Amino acid sequence: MGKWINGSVGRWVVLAVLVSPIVSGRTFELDDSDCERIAMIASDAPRLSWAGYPGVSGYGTGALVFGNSDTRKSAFLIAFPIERIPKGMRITSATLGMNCILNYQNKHRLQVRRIIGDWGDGVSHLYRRTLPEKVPWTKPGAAAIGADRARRATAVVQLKGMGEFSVNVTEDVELWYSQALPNNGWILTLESEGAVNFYAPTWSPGNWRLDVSYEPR
Amino acid sequence: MNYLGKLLGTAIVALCLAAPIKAQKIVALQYIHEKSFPFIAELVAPGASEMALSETIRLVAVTHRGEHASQVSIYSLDETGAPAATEPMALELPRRGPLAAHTTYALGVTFHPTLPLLYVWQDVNATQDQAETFEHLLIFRVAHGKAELVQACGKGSDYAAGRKVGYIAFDDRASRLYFPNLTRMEKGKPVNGIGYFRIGKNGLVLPADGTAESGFMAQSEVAFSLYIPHDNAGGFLPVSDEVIIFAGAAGPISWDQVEARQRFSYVGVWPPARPYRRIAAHPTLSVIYMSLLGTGYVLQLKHAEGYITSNFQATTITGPTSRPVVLGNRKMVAFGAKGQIQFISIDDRGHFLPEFRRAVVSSDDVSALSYSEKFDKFYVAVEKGK
Repeated sequence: MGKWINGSVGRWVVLAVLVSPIVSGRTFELDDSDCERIAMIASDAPRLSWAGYPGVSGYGTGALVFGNSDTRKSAFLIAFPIERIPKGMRITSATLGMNCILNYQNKHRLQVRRIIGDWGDGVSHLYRRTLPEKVPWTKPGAAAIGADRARRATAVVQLKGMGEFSVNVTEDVELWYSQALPNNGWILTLESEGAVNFYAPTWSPGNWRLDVSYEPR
Repeated sequence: MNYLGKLLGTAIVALCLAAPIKAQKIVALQYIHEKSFPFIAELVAPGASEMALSETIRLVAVTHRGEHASQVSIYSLDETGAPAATEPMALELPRRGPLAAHTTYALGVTFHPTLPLLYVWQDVNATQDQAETFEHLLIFRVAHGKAELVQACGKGSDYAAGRKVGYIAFDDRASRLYFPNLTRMEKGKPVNGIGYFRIGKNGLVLPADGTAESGFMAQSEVAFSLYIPHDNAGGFLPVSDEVIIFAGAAGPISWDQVEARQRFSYVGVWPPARPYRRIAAHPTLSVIYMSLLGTGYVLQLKHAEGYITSNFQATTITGPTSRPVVLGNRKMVAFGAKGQIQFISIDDRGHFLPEFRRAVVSSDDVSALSYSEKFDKFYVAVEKGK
């Protein structure tokens, strides 16, 4: 046994075990708890980064309420740290996953778009960041198409009932990974009128996920 | 290790690498051994519960649990910030008015930032109905080894009695003193409140408009909310004139005193159902820290003008028993625990670094802590001297 292990076959076994995951490709999983840049902005709470849901006493983050009405237009912003993906790879697929916990209607559509400009600490309905200095969105709520958010939607999620939903975001992740565009994450808004609730990252982490598969270039 | 062992080890590592990478959710801390902590200054204060520090008049005030609960111990510091070799002054809380026969106890203490004044938030073992005349705030002038009561206020039907937690804190300009523990019935249910007293240039609470000196009523602003917890969370961080952050049951809460639409906003932070939360601010960065008493969790969060922003960091230490204390000069955050203080390193942005140090102290429940940036001294109340 020892002689066999010590032979060239053993070395090939070791090499095969080490190389196999690289040859066959890898899956890289990130979730919301990996993201430093993350926020829920809303027109009804214009200075808050975490305008999760409007309650009796104020705002909370027990859930993320996507609203699209005259009184509340909200948006969820999330940027995954894809720089953790090893260099020199080719992205084969990328999926953005989410979990809806309250949806009274089956007609709702959630739109996903790339965010164009840099944003971060202190982000709100009015500002893309307030630290170290205030930088306003072109249009409040990151609403300016072509300036705050991408002209073309990455995906539209048809929310039929509750539970897990996912969308293909391969092209966006490729663009960011290859540094053709800066990674400023996505903005998700409700296209249809009404409201739906999703899990909040600070309270129930792990429900917003990015799964990326890649292989050597 | 023989070749077979090396091969198996390599194979295990390779298989682990082949599995989907699981991102790190909690900052894993590595213990760094430190032989001594020369910046720690111990103060012997049996049953200590909270602490306040004045760098201006070089005093430390300590509240107590148990048999000394109605007393505040005041320690003098020398010119270097080291505890003076004198006995502490034992300030017995005066029993006044119709409730003089009831047991009183100090919950929160703070000093005026520039004047020789000590503010004590006290409570009483009495029913709510009995306690309407009880004055919760006592202000003492402390000088030349003596403490003289100069003002008492904070009474009325909205002030809760018999609470176990009560922090007070000044804003940057010392024009407001924030206080806890209000309660009132709304739609048949008790709702908690907080508020602040307006403070004059002499450090005393200003009278409400139209009140005579004999019937002194404090000038204050108060707010009630379902978000304000009862007894199990505490700490005020007045980060601006408009917004303060306080510790709520589910996480930090911002009280916006200008914008009515977003008057209160809380960020419920994982792990949920851990209500015993304490809070502290970094002295120069827009960063706050939170300890979840009775658990191993401590958190780092960012704020922008008082509103919590971005994601937070979590890590675990041996069950914290104190509020966080930030050592800005030393880039550390300290947490008391059973018989020890744990110092977590932080980077230039205030983020937790993956390392901690541990100092052993003679106290079962280390909760009275403070740090002086001026003297670079970390004060801790202990049960007995070395």
